[in-house]
Amino acid sequence: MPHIEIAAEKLISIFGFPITNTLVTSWVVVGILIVLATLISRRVAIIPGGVQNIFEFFTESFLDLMEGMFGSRENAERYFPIVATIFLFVIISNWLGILPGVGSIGFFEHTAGEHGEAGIKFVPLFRSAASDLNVTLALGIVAVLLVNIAGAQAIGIGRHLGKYFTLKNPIDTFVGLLEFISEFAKIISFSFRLFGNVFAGEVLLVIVGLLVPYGAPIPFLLLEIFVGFIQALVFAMLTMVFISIAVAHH
Amino acid sequence: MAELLKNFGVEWKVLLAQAVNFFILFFLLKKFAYRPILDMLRRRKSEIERGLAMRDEAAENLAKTKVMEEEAAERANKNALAVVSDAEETARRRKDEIATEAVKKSEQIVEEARRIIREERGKMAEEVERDAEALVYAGLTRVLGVLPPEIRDRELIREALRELKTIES
Repeated sequence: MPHIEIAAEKLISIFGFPITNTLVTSWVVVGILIVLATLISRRVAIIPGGVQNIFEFFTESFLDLMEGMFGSRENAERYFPIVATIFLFVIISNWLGILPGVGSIGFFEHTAGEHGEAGIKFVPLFRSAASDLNVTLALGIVAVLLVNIAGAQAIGIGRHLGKYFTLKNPIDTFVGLLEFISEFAKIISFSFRLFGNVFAGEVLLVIVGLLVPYGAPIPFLLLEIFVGFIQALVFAMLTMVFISIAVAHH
Repeated sequence: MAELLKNFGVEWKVLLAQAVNFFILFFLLKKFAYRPILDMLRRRKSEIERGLAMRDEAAENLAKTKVMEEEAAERANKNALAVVSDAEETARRRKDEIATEAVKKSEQIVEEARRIIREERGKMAEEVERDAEALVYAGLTRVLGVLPPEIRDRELIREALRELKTIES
């Protein structure tokens, strides 16, 4: 029976800095996306082909969606990099997590059990990035931070902070405080939604794979592909909605 | 709270590393992927718009050219009709002139012919007169056997001829 751990497994430690398997997977995701970006930037042509076609389709689809939300193409293009990067990072890391080898290639580690007895633990080299709360929490914090930066840039720091802290009247003061608290709630909601879905998917795949190793995991793998896409879309769309609210002049 | 975070494996160092990871990805994608693609989309859009404007302009020019072509054809048609009409008029005038000239020329020819005939006839009459004179002279010479004085003879002959003409007329 495999050992299921909520926390990401530590592979090594460099000068006290822990390198976890989810951090390694994050680096792989970043590497894949940078390679794709380099390929695109080198071959951008007026008549698109190959990778450029796919990327242009993705860009146009997102921009159309964002144009409807922001009301102008200019604003859609301004905030497109934030939304698109979140979507790409999450979807690639989610899909990478269901590839063969991720979660199954690793090494055995001798551990001391809870009551002091020795044991052996399997430590996978790679693990779906979003199945670690560190990743989803970091993404949530970054998303909320970028939303607030975008809001401050659009309407000014004073007016933006005025949404949270105001002494105009008691109701506004209270609503502002609630708004401020809701920013933290957004971080928690972002991070736990993504973490919960991906981690649950990982656990589901492990259990189904153990119970019926051949054939049975296929529908669940397809489900995870779908869930991976939906979660990336939800994260990106929520960020987009929060940005559009933050930059709106009320 | 600390216990909860520990159970979930949240560690600020890893969290920071993940955030830095994401920011690096964000800036690299923005520089190497989004900017070139967005620039290309804008360029393509402007080129398509320019192409469409050029198409509209070309269609407008074509319509103008067609109108000009029709006008030119109409003008040419009118000119051609005028030229044909002028040519017909000129031809008619020339025909009349030629006919008049031909009549004049034929009259001149006839007149010339008549003059020549008149002259020829005069010459022939003189010749006949001369020949008759010689014949009469020769006949009289043979009949009379003598040669009368020349001047008298000639006066006689002329008298005889005058008489002969009177008898003929």
